[in-house]
Amino acid sequence: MFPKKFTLFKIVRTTIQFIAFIILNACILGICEEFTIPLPILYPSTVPTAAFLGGFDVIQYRISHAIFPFITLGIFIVIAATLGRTFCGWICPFGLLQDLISYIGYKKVTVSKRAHNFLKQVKYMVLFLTILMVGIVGVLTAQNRGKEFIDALGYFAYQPFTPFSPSETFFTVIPKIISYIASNPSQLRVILDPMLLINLIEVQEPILIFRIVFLGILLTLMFFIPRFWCRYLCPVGALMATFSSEHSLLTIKRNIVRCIECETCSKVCPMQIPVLKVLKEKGKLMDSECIKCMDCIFACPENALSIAVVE
Amino acid sequence: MPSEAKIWATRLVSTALIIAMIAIITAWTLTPKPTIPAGYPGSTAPKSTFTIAKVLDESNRTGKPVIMLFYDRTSNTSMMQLLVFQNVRQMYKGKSLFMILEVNTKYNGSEACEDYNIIICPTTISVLSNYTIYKRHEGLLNETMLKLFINDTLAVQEKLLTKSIGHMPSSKENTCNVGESFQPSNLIWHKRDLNDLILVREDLVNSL
Repeated sequence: MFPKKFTLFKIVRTTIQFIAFIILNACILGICEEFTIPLPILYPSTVPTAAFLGGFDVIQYRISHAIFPFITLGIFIVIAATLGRTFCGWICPFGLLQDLISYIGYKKVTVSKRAHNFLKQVKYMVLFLTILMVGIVGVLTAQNRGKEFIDALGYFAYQPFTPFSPSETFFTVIPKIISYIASNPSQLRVILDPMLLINLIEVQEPILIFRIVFLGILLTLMFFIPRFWCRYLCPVGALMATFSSEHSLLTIKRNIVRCIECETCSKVCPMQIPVLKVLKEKGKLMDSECIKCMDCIFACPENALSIAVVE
Repeated sequence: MPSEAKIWATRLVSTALIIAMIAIITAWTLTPKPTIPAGYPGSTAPKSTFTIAKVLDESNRTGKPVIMLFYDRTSNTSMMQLLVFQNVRQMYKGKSLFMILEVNTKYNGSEACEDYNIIICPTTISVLSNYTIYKRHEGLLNETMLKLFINDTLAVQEKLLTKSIGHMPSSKENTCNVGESFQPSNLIWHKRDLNDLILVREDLVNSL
């Protein structure tokens, strides 16, 4: 049984995440001037209410236009080096969505250690392939060559990851579909004819069916595996993990006297980090996968864990 | 074990929050925005003809803004503007795309005239790579002013690239956020030719 403070903490964290979501969508508050600060979160710039930018979109776009994303990468490095992947745990709207879905889910599945260790490398592959793709397009653009190749890539040339991003599907495409239906009441018959609806939307949103199916699969997996996207597929998480690489200033420490080694911390970790094992080995929770959600701290029945700044 | 009621309450709140997230974005999308007349800053540039569509798509692909000049060969002011435009065009080659559209002809210009609400010649319009009209100037622009006009557009285009929304049509296209609004109060009618009534800005006429 988890202590009462754990439930309270979950409420507080969800509230903060939701407030962050509102701030990221400051247009709804009437602040429509977009801030040019790219943040290390998976949030598409195409969201009509977005007031901040998802940094990964900026990185893709700038590299593919043969411009090095100094500022964006600088922001990523500074945040990763100081706060680690805190933004994933506290700010990212897609992280909030995953948390909410896992709260609805019936039974949590623990992925076998072998599969987990393999799958968590996939996000680095996604990151590598995306950067490789935009890098090639960027080089061709700089040399003013390969126009046919870039044209052939079409939708995928400048932001190859974005069309696959479930965050964009959820926060941009789905509201677009709902808006389309709501603003064309005379065409409500499209609801009865999904193919017609798909054809209508697909004019604006290529690979719509793939996107919806992909999102559906991910949402289903998130019911059983908390933070499935963050753990195994998110290239933003991979980039942040690369820069934080176990050395971020913010970390978690264990009070050896209080700790009864009940493993509660490891059980509640949404990223499936063997918290106790890492703490025993290193004295601090130095794991680049840690999203600093602090679930382990508040779930600990003996208050043996605390947040600390690396000296 | 937490009680069953608590579990269901958590599920209910979580579902409500997920729906709220989508509802917030959808509601904002559906909220009526101030309408901007076609061809004015903040509105989407109409793809009136094949050539215009091609240039706008090229702009969208390359991230370069488009500077469009609507001119009438029967108007002296228009012809003066055309000369200035051609000079400046050479200076900004590679940084921006340029289009010259003659009105009152069977070609691109006359078709586009209606879509872009051209009531004065010359009219200079800048379009960003996300198809949004950023600036519109009715009347003559001397070389310095035209350079300022283009530089301003390039600066905003650069910001747009940073924001990464350059190549995708933004859903904010129809809002008033971009550029400046059209103020007709500083316009007067001037009879410049026998056949044409040309609307020019009074301050520009005085400065010439």
